[in-house]
This record gives sequence, C-alpha cells and structure tokens, in this order.
Amino acid sequence: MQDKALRGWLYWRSRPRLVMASLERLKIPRHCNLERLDPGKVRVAAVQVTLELIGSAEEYVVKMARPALCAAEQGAQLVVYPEDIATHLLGLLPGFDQLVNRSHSLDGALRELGGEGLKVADVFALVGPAMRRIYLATFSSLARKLGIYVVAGSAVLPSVESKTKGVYNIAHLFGPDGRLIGRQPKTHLLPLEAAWGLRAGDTLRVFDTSLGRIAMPVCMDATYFETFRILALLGAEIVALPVANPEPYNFWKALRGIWPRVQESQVYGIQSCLVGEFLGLKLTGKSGIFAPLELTDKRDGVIAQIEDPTAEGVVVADLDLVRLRQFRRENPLDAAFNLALYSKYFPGIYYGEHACG
Amino acid sequence: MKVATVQMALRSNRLEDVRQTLCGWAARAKDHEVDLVVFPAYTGLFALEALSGSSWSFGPGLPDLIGRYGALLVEFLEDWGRETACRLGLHLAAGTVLVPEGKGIAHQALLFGPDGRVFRQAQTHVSKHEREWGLLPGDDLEVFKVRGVNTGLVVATDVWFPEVGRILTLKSASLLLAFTAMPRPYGHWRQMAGMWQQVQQNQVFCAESCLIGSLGNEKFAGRSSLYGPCEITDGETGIIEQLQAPDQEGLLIASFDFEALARIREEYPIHRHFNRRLYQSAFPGVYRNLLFPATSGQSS
Repeated sequence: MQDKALRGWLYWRSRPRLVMASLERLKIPRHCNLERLDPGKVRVAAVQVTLELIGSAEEYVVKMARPALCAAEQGAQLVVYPEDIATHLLGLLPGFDQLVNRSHSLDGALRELGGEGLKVADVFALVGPAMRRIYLATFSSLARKLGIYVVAGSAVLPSVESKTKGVYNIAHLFGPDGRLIGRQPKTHLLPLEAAWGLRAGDTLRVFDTSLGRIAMPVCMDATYFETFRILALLGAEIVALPVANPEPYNFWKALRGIWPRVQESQVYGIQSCLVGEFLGLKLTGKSGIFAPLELTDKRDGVIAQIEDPTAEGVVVADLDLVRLRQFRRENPLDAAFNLALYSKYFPGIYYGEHACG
Repeated sequence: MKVATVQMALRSNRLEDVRQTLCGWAARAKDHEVDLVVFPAYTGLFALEALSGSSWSFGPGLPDLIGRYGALLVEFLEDWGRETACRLGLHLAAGTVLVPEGKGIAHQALLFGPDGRVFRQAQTHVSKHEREWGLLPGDDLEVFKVRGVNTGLVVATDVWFPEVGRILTLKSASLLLAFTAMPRPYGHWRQMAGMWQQVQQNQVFCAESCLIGSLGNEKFAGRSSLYGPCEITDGETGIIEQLQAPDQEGLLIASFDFEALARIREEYPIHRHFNRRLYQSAFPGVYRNLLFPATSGQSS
C-alpha cells in the first residue's frame, strides 16, 4: 500500500507538464545549426556534468538545459551527455537527500532505506518510471527546441519491453524534431553494476542521421574492443560514449577506454563524463572528442578535451567525415582482417576453459 | 620471471659481424641473469645481403629473393638461436624471419627454449602495403610455455589488431612477446595504440622489442618496452620500463610478477564481463559484411 502510494506520488511529481513549463521559462531559442549540412564539418559537443541529487523535474530541466544551450550557441549539431544522467532524479524519493547525508555509501543508504535484501536495481525499478518520464521529456524537448541531435547520455531504467525484463543502463538518441531515434542498452557492465543487479543488453546498433552514422555504447563497453569493432563493421562513423567512471582520475587508466577503440576502428569518438562525489563514489573524467591519430593536428588522437577531470564543462569541435571516409579508403582495415583466423576462434573462444565467468 | 628486450639496428652486413652482434646482446642480457631475452622483428633478414651478395629492399621483388635465400636465412637464425639459448640456458625469442610460402612469403617469429626446442608463430594480419610485397598471413595463433608461463608471440602488424591479444589470452597466455619494426618517423601514440592497449584490455605482461636503423631500404624507429596492467605498475602508467630514445640501441630489463598479475585479474576480472550473447550473434559474420561502405550499416 505504502509502495503504491509512493509510486503514485512519484508519478505526479514527474508529469511532463512540469518539464514543459520549466523549459518555457528558460525561453530557449531554436537554433539553425542543422540548416546547412556539410559532412566535412559536423560540429559536435561533449558536455561534462556533475552528479548531484535533484528533487524536482523543474530543477532537473534547468541543470540539463544549461550545457546544451552553451553547445548550441557555439553551433553544435550534436550534443552528447554523460552516463547515468538520470541518477540525479533519485532525489525525487522523499528523504533520500537526508539519507545520502547520513550514509557515505550507496549500499549503506540502501540498507537504511529497505534493509539488507534491497538492491540498487530495486530502487531504480521503483523510481524508474518517474525518472523515465522526466528524462525523456527533458531531452526530447531540448533536442526539439534547440533543433539539434542529442545523445541524452544514459539512464538506469527498467526495461519497457516485455521480453527483456530487468533494469538496464540505456543510452538514448533524440532527433532535432524531438523524436526518439533509438536506444542502446549498455552491453558490458562494471562489476559494481552487476553487483547492483543491473542487466546487460546483447545487441549493438548504428543509427542513420543527417549528420552521419551514429552509435552510442556506454562507458565500460569501450573497455572491450569487440564493441567498437562490431559498431564500425555495422557502419558507425561517430561513436558517442556516455561515461561515469567511479575512480580518481589517472591519465593512463583513462586512456584505456575510448582512445584505443577509436584507433582500432577508424571512427570519431565523443566521450562525455559524469563527475563529482556521490555516495562515496568519486566520479572523474575528461570529456573530449577523439579521432584516428592521422586525423588530428598533433597526431595524438585528440581533437579537443576538457582540462579539469572534476568540473563541469562543454567542449565543441568539428568532425570531417569526408576526410574520415577517405582515410578509411586509403588505410583499409579490412585488407588486413584475417577471416580464417576469426572463423576458427570467434565466438567459441569466449566459451573456452580459460575464459572466466 | 626476469625478462630482457633488445632494441638494435643492423650495423654491418658481414655474416660473422651479424652473428657476433646478436650474441653480444644475448650475452649482455644473460649478465643480468634473465630468464628470457627478446629480439626485434626481421633479425633473420640481417643476413640477407651477405647471403645474396647484393643490397635488397622491401618490395614486390621480395618473394623471389626469399624463394632463393629463405631457407638459408632460417638456417642462420635457427643455428644462432638454438645454440645461444642452449649455451646461455635461457629462453630466446630470436626475432623474425621471412620464409617462402607458396607464391608468397610468411613472416615468422622464432622462440627457442634452453633445451633447443623451437616454436614458430606467423604474422596473422598483413597490411595492404605488406601484401604488395608478397606477405601472406598465417591462420593460427599458438601459446608456448616459457618457464612455465603461457606465452604468445605477436608479430609486427599484429600489434595493432586487438583480435590477436584477445585470442592469445583466451588461449591462456599471460605473457605476450611482440616483435616490431615500425617505419620512421617515430610516432609515440602510434606505438601506444599497439601493445600497450592489448596489455590493458587483456591483463597480461608484454615485452616489446623494436628494430631501429636501416634495413632493406626502409628506416625504422621505436621504443622497446615492458608493459603490465596499469594497476600493478609504478604511477599506474602500464609501462614497467621503456627506452627513452626511439633511435638508439639499448637493453631493457625487468621482472614480471605473475602473482601480482593473478591478484589484479581476480580483483578486476575484465574477462568475466564478456558479453557472450553479443559476440555469439555478431562473430564472425560481422567481419564478412565488409565494411565501411555507405550501404553496410544496420540502422534502427
């Protein structure tokens, strides 16, 4: 009964009208960034956002709109948000902010909330429907009002499809008309997320847009070369990667994600990081825009990157898809692929005696 | 396990000089009581000019030249490698040699045990450029024992294909030995996109040995390195040791701590989170969809 009342209350607090009203107050001007399309100059932005609890749809809209506005004013046609970008909305839970102040870990907060048996996934399953309403309305409206593409980072949400029950970490792409172009569940979980009870998706998709072919795996997916290899072979040219990395910043450890994947697969990469301290987790990262070494001025694979791994920011740069396509023609990866070798080992080797798990 | 990796250039084409130089590097490594010493790519070609009696170059004429002298090159490298490994009582990754293979050539790495046994590994990924001079890819990757440690050999261009490290580590390799010859000018990030990242995504150790100087009308540069997972290296760099200059000879020595490696694999089990259902549905078919043309993508 108590649970039902809470769900009802959350539903009321997440009605899309609150999002719309908040956006109206911001008086967001529609931009003309997509009126002139040039594959030789696709302007993209990575935004870096802090994680903090937010207790209302109105506040959430204001926080999320700020970086998109900043990017759109600089001409961005595609804006990419970080992973776990709806987690702020745990603040909708009555008293959760006080719980956070008392507990110094997520596990501790959950124990206090629901006892030993409660998993993080259970909390997201409870708040998920309300989170989803606010999250989707916010980013759909932002994309439509600004007239640009938005990769709305990812959100931990219960599945809406009956055949895939469970809680997933899902990236969303919205078009300039506000339409949801596609979803991409995270396919490789952090050990922490697996312990939380989240489930991994098992498909990867590439989405056609007027800017180019966009994919959006999530964070840990970039630890595995398989993700980017599959996406590149499916035709991805721009890979947006929402990230929330729960460890102190280290240049070398950060180098293990999107950077080598971009080099291996000949794509452009856009990484957007969630930062800040939250329930004992220290989230860090440097959002940035990456390319094959040969397409960057300093031959270092970095087009532009935010300097501070702990603060909010926006970084904007141009991608040259004409040059990328030419680079691929001149340096064809497929010329060196060894199909006989792959056929011998893939996918069987992942099930072999030395593969853990 | 104590490991040495050699960064060297060909300084003289006289057969006896080549042999003495190789012996000299191996002896220097042995002075440090190493268990394993790794030489760079193309050491087997050091003897080509002396054997053929004329200068040569990497290019379309190579299959013919290797057809005539390949057996002698292999014999040269095998004699030296086997004798040295036995005499010094260590494992010796002798570098690589080109051998005749049908109408083309194969690029093989040779690893000698202290008992004189030899293990061979062919390069499995051949670039467009290498294909133009007749190189053919091998179609298997093997794991060998070095002092009880499962070891894979990564030959030349294979360093840039993550499939290689993945297959070898899933075949139980904890140590990768890489034989490289990277054309000048040296690119630090180009090198980092190779074995460093293969080490990180597979949680293994690696000894990478780079050829420098001139050979076959090509110039090479690189920084021989010993890598490990970031978590068990100083400063979490993933680099245990690395030569500073990409154009100077040198010897790198370090110990690999396999107990620490086992610990980090247990604490942070990357391979435990493979998405087998995804790979099952994508591999190997996705490679056959070839590739990148505007019509190949799957969209929503």
